[in-house]
Amino acid sequence: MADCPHTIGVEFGTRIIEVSGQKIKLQIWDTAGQERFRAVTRSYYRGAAGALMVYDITRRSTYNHLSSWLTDTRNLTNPSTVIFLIGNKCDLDAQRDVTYEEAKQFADENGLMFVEASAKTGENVEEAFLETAKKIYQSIQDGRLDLNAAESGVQHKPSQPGRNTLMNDQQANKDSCAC
Amino acid sequence: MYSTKNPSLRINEADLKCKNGCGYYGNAEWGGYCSQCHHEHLQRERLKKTGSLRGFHHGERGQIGDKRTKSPVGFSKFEEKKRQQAEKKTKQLLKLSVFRKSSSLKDSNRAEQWQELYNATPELEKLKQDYQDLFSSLSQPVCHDVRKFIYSFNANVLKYADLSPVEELSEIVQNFYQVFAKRMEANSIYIDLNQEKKEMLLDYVEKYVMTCLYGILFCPPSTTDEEKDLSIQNRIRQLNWVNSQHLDCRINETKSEVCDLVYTAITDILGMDSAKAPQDKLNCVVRCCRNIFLLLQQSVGGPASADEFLPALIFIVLKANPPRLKSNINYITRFCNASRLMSGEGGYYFTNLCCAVSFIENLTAESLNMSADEFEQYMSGEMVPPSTWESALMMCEGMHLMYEQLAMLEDLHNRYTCFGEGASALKEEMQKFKNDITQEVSAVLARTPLTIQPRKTPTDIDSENPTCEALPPPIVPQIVAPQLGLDLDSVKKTDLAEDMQLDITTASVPRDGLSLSPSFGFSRSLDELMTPDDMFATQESLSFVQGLTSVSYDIDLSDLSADNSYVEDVPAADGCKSSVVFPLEAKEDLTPSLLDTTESPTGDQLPSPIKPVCTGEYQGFAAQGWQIPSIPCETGDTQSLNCDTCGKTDSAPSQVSVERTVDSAASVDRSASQKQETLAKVLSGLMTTFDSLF
Repeated sequence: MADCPHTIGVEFGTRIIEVSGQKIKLQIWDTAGQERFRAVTRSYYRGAAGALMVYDITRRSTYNHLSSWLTDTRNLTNPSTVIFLIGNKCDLDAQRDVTYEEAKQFADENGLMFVEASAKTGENVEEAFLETAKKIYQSIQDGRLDLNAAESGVQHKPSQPGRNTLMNDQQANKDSCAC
Repeated sequence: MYSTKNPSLRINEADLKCKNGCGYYGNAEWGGYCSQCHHEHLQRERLKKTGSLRGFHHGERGQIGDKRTKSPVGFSKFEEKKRQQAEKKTKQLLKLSVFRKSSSLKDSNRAEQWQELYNATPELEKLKQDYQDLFSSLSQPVCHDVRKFIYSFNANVLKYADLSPVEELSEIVQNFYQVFAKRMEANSIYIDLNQEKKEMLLDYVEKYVMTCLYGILFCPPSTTDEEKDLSIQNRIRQLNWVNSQHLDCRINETKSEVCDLVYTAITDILGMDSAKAPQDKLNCVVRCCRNIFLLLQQSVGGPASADEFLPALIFIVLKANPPRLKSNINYITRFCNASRLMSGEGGYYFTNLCCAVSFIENLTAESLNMSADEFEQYMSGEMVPPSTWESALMMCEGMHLMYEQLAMLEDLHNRYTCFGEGASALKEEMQKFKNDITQEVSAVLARTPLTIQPRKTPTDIDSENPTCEALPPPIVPQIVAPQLGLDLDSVKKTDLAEDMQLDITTASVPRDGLSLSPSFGFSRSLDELMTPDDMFATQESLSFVQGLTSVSYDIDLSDLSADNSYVEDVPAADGCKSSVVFPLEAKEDLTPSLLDTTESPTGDQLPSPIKPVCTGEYQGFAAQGWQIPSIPCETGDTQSLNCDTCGKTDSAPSQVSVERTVDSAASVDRSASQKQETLAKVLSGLMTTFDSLF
């Protein structure tokens, strides 16, 4: 993620994707992932429809912090907020510190979606966002996310039918100071 | 329950729940309530207020209030406190209303407020100008509707401004934004506008209204914003010692470009306080953050992520210490269109700013990765961290100066090398020149000795020759000449005339045969020369010419004669004019030719004409030529031989320069060969004298 430009797409931090024929505008906000900022980054969660929690498979410390980040995310967001767990740097399989199985189990226990990806090679990055968007779209269809509630983080723009603006918090969970 | 105590690193889930115990999450901005409970709480508060103002009368609202009193025990205490505050407020209001007394007075007060609102004209005018393009493209009814809406908006907010807490005002304002947005969608007069224009219009309404209401809505006295401002300001002052290393942010403070960007970012965030509309304040934040991203790019050497951005923003806020920080943030949160804060660049950066501020508020030793002791010492000022921002600044200044001077040095070095090259080139050139010159000189020296020696020898010969010793006199007439002044020219002219005739005369010599007169060479010019002196002079000079002399000698004479006028007239009169142009050179040229003529067989006969004239008259003549009575002046000129002229010439004594007369006298007596010999000698003598003269 560090090697991604902070602006994605033309409009700041946005990306338009298509889910089952509907155009969905994703708004992606990057948050500081250091442990010491965890307490103050609450405002990022406001109105988030989904969250991507990213850890580094080559550094176990980043994985260990997941539970506390998850608690925050659960506490500060809507219950229907989609949370996606992502193991980054899967291209560095030789230096792996966290096994796929372990992380997968953690995800299943907490009801998270999980995938291993690589920001460097781009592997699974697109898929992760696409899956998140799909899940959110499903929530809307199911009625779990209210389009009209200001806090839902989802806006339906009547002037441009079929376009939803989603707020995704993308969390960088790669705290360098972790031990 | 929502806890408002100092946040710890771990937050229990219970701490985040609504104070009301309804199971939803609470929020600090809502006093620890969830949105639902907060709203109800507000309404209750309002009810209480109005109730205490108008006396408690139970209506629908009262019932709601009653319902609320069934809240949990833990909350009742808090509620009590709130109620007390509310009562206090109403008392104050009552006090105020004592002064207002009548409703009419109140109305006038309102009018004053209106006045105040529109006193912010410069800003409003500017705003109108900014949106000039938009309005020029709008139809009349739309403009009218917008104006009407703004008016009702202002009126509405003013109505509640005194009585309602700021949260409620915020709600009213946000509602207005939504209403206006819906109005644009629904109302038929807006149907022609595209989405972009609608957004601009919404923007305009927001800006206009907020600029008007800024004085009332910014940091209203009912809130504790001001205290919070002061506390965060003090906090930031205390944290003055925090540097970028403590925050782990990778700002390269010693790089001048980065430093400039830091300054710009600080200026931008400071500018937030002077803007009035929430969007403008937000734009300041956006500009600041963009600069931070730029400087991070410079420092890190690539695109920065939030991991770098947030610490950098904290650093900037710490160093800027923006005035009324809390008030500004709250103002934006309350009155900026909520949708703007939820999305886009502005929303993202503003969220980051809120995070930065809350980090600063809750900053502990742990969050700076240092021990509590160390932190305390820094905070109390007992210790100063080694590398503070100030020292970095100073260093940066030094670096700036150094870079400047390095650049200057570089320039000087370049110039020096340039100069050195030029100098060496010049040196080489000089060396080459010197060599060339020495070569040339030696070459010339090798050539010259031959020529120098022989030339010098003639002088010796001359000195040994007694006849040559007699020569010095030639100088005399030259001295006289300058005295003659005016006539000099004319004389020269006449000379020239003679010179011109010279060839003819030489040619005609054989015809003359015996004639002695020197003036034989005269053509018509002779006729025209009326003065006897002139005639004589010409004759004289001629004779000399034949005797091989150079020209200058004859000059002295004519001038002193009475008829200067004649002389002057003459040259003007005739063809002599033409000869005027080249006086001296002509004579000089002639001398060599004369030499030739003397050597030629015809030349042999020439000396004779001179002889009688010169010898006879020489003694008496000296300087006063005119006293000499006559000269046998028969010229050899066949063309114009006049008795008159002859007579005249007789009367004028010859004014031959001394040496010539001598020469000629001598030559007359001798035989032809002798004459030639002496002539050669004289010539060489003359040459040498000339040589020595020059």
